[in-house]
Amino acid sequence: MPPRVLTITGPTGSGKSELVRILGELASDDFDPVLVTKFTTRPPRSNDGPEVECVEEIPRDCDIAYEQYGVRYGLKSQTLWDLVAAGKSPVVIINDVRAVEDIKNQFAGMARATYIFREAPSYERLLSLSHERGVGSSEPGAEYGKRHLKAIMIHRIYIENVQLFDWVILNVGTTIAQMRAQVEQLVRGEAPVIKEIS
Amino acid sequence: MRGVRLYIVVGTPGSGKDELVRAVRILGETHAGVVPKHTSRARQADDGDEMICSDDEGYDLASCQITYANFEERYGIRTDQVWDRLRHGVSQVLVVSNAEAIRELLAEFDSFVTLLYVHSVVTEADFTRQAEERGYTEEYSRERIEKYWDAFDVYVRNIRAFDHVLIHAADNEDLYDQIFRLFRAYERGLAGAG
Repeated sequence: MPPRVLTITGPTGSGKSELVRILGELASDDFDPVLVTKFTTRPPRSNDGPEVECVEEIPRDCDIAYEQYGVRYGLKSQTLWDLVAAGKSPVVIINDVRAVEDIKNQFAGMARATYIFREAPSYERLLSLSHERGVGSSEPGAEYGKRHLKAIMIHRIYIENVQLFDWVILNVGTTIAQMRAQVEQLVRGEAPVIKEIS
Repeated sequence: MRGVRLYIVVGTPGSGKDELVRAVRILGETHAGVVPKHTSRARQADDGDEMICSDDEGYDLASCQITYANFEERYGIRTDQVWDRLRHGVSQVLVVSNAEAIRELLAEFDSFVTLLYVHSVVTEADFTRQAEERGYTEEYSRERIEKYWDAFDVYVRNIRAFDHVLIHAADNEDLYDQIFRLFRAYERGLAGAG
């Protein structure tokens, strides 16, 4: 069975957006992914999509809320329930382990927690990503060091909660086709049988 | 029998599987034992006690119920001994990356199996360094690089078969941390229910 609720955890530059794009391409009659809007108190970024709504305060009815590096995030579990009831598969990008646990507890067997791994980006890559995304100043500095540290800390979330994650997508500098092959198998729910080495 | 598992560890060459198994032997014997493998090749300097080589006392490839070939050598696993330990409530860790052997193990141990993939970030420079340290020939080293991508391909093509992925990105301790957390999660019934 395809997943009904999908959480995605991964550091900056790990390929979360690419993963979301692939999920969209794999939409079918029984898998209709919808990226869920998350509220955040951080300032807007030039590349923010509809999945992020920047607010001064997290709305009171956000029952899944957390804070990271002084920024608050929140989402409404009712939104997820409404989407599930409408036959959709809500997809939530979330880098907080308690929030992932909350979603898994609420949706029990329906939820799949996914971790996307890519080698922690170098300082230079973060700098380049920050330029592409219009984040921060144009000069390297403490801000990029902080983002690098954050990427490493998100990887620690995985190490310390390995049992929590149902799926791991390895985005390890090979081809998009290999990443797509992983996502496709997970979404289509193929039987877990070890196949021949090619 | 709750939490008693056969952890089958699959991974790329140089992923840290051997170090992981040694850590289990040294630090984790209250959680799990290590299934020894019999091999037709002679003992190498970096072999641990988890390998029973053709020049070792106790070598008995003929008694192994599952055998497979790797780099032109034969390897074998005594499944009767694995069953014996599982019956006594002892979880086991077994490193094997041969697809046919994994299939046989899955068929035999079925619901006892937790299949783990160890992924490591290894560059060609790492392989070269390892080859120098371990005295590998250029040809053997090249084969290891090919095996690395073959093993990754096994993961990509069989992702649903794996229960967990251990990521070896930096320190060995982080890798050990992951398997010990899994041991505890299974022992407490916090993993494996779904």
